[in-house]
Amino acid sequence: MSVLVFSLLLTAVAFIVHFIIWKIRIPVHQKSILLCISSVILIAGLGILFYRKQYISLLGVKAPQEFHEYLQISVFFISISLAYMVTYSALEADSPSLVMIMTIAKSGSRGLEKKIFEQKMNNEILLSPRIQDLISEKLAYVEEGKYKLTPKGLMFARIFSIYRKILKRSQAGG
Amino acid sequence: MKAMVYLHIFSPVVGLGVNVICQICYCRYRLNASLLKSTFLGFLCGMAILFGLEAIYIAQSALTIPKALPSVSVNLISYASLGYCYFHFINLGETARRIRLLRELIRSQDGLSMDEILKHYNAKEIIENRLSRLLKSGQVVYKDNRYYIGKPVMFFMSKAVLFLKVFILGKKSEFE
Repeated sequence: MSVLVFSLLLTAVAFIVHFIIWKIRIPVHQKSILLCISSVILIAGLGILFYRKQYISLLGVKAPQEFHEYLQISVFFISISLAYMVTYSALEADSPSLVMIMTIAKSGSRGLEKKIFEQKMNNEILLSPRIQDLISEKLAYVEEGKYKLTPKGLMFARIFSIYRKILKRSQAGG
Repeated sequence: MKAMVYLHIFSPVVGLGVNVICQICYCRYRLNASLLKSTFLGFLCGMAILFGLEAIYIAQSALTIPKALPSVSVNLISYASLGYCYFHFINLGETARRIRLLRELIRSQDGLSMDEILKHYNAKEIIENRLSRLLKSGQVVYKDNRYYIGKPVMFFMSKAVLFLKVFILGKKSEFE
């Protein structure tokens, strides 16, 4: 029970800290700050729990006493943090599929013509911001008017290319 | 016994490993394999292994089920989170614009100008790909030259994402 209670506590603290910081000011490098928050809360939280375990209890449940319990809390916290960070990526950028669904839903029983998508969703809306993201995330750079991959971008591109080959995915995707 | 304790702690990671292996095998060795089906199948296989390991742990540690339940719940949530991350990883490779852009750039030796990028990948293809997926999955239906909402799963997901955007980011769109 102590593992469950204190895993949820650490997760809740991390989310509250994240929420407070975001309400004060949304950082420029959001994912990096999220990673920092998770790391600090995990290390500090586990440290406080471990060194003060005799004195800490929550809802009648004592702090974890064994090392393996702290390991289990870490696995839980890291898993939840990773899941939240991948979800967060979906919040940062507008997903074209979700925008299309909402646009169709708004048209109700009248339905929606395909040309409406083409008018509303052009290269400026769908591609330019993503290309800018590649630059700001240091995955690509511009040299003499051409976009090229940085070593970091090359690594990411290789990981996904290799994985698609493993899965035998032939369609271009995107 | 100590080995069993550590296996119990890392059972979500073991489950994820099984998830990945099963998903890859299904994709590689089944003709016309559906990516979504393979992801679900992999997830279920990983979960079966997780439950198996937890059952062995409970039997060996002589815990009662009520006493073991909180710890097993922690592992179940961890596994579900890791499985969700893996699903997103596959989804990124399949649908993300940034990943497609990276793959276009890696194919070119000397880089690509904006015009060259748009020749390989543009808004028209993005819309076509998504409409094709939405129609195939029945989330959208096409009738009398117009699109309508079909199955409402994606619609409810869109509402949930919109809610989270407003709640966390304070805005509905990245263009606000």
